Amino acid sequence: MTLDDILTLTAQRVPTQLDEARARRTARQIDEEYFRRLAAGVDITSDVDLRDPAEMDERRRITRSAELLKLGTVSWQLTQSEIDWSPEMSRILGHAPGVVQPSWSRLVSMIHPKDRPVVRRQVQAAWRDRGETEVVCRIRRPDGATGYVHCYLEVITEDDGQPTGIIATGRDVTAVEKARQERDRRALRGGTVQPDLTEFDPITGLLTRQRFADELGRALRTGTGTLLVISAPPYIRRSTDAGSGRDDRLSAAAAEILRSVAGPADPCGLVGRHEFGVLLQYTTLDTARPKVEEILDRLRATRFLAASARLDAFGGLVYYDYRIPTESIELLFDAETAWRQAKRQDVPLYVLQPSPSAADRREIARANIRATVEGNRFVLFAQPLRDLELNQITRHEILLRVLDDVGRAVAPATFLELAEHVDEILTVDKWVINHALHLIGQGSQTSHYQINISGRSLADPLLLDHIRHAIDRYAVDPERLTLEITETAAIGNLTVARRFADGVRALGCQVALDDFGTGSTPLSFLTQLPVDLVKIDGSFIQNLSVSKPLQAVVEGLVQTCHRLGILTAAEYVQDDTTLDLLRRYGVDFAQGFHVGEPELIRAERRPAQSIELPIHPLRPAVPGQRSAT
Amino acid sequence: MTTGSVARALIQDDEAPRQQHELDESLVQFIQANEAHVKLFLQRVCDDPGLVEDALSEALIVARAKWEIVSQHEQPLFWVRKTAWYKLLTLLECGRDELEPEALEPEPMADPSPRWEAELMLRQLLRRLPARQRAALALAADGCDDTEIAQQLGLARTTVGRYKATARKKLKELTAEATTRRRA
Repeated sequence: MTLDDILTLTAQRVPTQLDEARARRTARQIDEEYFRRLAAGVDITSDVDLRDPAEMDERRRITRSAELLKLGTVSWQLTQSEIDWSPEMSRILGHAPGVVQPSWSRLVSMIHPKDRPVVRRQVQAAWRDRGETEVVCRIRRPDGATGYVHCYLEVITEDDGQPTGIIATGRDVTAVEKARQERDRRALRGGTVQPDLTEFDPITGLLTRQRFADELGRALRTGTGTLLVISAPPYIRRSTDAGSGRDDRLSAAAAEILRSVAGPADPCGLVGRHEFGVLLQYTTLDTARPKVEEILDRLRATRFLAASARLDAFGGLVYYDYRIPTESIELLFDAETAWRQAKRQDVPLYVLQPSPSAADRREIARANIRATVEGNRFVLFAQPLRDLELNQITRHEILLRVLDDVGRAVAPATFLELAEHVDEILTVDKWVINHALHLIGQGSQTSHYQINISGRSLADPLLLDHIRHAIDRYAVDPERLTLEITETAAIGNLTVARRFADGVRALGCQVALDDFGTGSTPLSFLTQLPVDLVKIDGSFIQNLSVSKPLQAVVEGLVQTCHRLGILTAAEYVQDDTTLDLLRRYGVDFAQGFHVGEPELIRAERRPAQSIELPIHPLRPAVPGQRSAT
Repeated sequence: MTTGSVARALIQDDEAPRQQHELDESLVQFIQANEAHVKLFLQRVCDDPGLVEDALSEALIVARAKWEIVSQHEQPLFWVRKTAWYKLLTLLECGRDELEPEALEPEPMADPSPRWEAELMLRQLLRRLPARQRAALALAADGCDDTEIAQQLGLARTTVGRYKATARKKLKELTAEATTRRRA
């Protein structure tokens, strides 16, 4: 059916018998209503136009109809050089009617400069096509206020079809437009904010250490309960087993068991490598025990995968009570101490009872850290950074790895977190500076090296001297050195941080901010600290290629940095799409597995004996950067 | 203004009670011939039956008050329909924030075949058009030509032509959509 068919068919209306009766009733009703209003003094006819529409010319008719609807009109006729506008339009434009003479130049000057081209285009389109067009533009009123005006632009014709002018019917749509913008904004915002904050480890589906610690922190403040931490590394580790894929599958399988026994009410988290946490709220050490033992039994009894890998599970159980102030990291540490005890005694479970005092715990932790440092249970890796303009590796970040009980190098996130917490990070940082500069000094120094220093360590007045001496002693070119401030949250005193940064730069080194954009790195650091490089946190980069919101944040941040003369680097780069995006945004350096994996640094000229590096197999290179991946 | 019109109306009442009756009769005849046209137009442009009734009676009350003048028009129907349209726009303006009522299908007619089907298509099409275009097409569906539509809605003739072209395009889209839906 075409439109004309429809119109023809619908226009055929046969009057029915009902019409007459209905007409009488309608007439009676409106008659009654008319007299009622008359008696009540209600205005009936002031807002209608009684003229016969057939007797008015087109321009007049449109103007009149606009007036009735409280709309303004602007009209232009071929025969006249100037335009005319109605009193209502004068009001829309912000002038009392009759005060200013309508004119083209005045009208144009009131249209927002950015909207002038579109208005001009729409007027031309209407005139060219002899048809109605619409336009919304901003009007700047004489009092400085801006409003949105919607206009229908119509071409007026003579009876013979010759166009004689244009008329615009306008309405103030500021409120409507603002409401629309707000609707659009809300819709956009709904799509750009994360649906929730819960973060799960992609392999095991358990909470990440950070989120698990959050859950723990919440539980610690509100009630009592127990925390179980299980270390479950593969039982036998043949060299051929190496490979993160296999480990991942084991972790996933272990997580499955954990979840099935623990139940939905008990949060489970991946708190470290092969280390799982289960929060058993509102239990005591006694009531939790059956469930804990079941978890451990199941983990130990299950043969994972066809290749008969088994897990060696050791559990540490601790009790918490909201009346004893404890932080989640401390409780995790206690539980970790407990499973280590279990492992030492070769029993499945060790219950730490009573909980150690804060001072004891601190001492244990510090002693652990000092022992690790003194025992040189660290190795240094270097991960390449690619200069995105030159498209070649020009820098390396020196990464710390901690050797675990069996001599494997593992990502140090947990270790560093604890060191920060018990204020032993300076010891670690100094070890890194010494050993890294030693290794760098032995090499050809063709690259630029980035070394991490905790924000907490900046408070040490001697750190700067320590760095200066190390540079001198190992003959390192300071211009090839950037000090990356990590854990910027721990920068307690901005003045001290500023002094440190100035001092480092005076040596010829550069200063970088690590993990920028998460935690507590205020934007004000960019102007308050003489930063040379900002390393955008990996959480912004990991899903960059698929996330418009992240793209917006990264692009904006890079622009800001460039205008401040700050270089930018992106970590966790995993694919070419991300690389291309970063290059487009003008990011200077890219880092991540896609660029290059961290590799153990080996001394070039004089091997092992002069470097205090423990001997252990080079491979496997441990996936993960300084912080947990 | 209010007092003025009331005063005028009162004088009129006092002067001509006899004439009043005559006027009523011609108004009744007008309503008999045209009420359905005006109402159908309003139904086609507005899905809310309450607003349709209100706009219709508002327009007729004004016509009742000024029948003397309106009846002298070339086409009193045009004037009433125009006034009803403005009344409807004003009512819509007041209730802008209210929820869009469920669209009503036309009542089935005595002869359900092509005419009813055409009405159904028309209503579906109209619902996809902005208010001004919708009104223009609703008048076309009541047999008005472009000039008549322009007169009643306060539009330029060229605009009416443009609206019809848009409606044609929209109808094609609608038909294509319906076809794909049926196939799927």
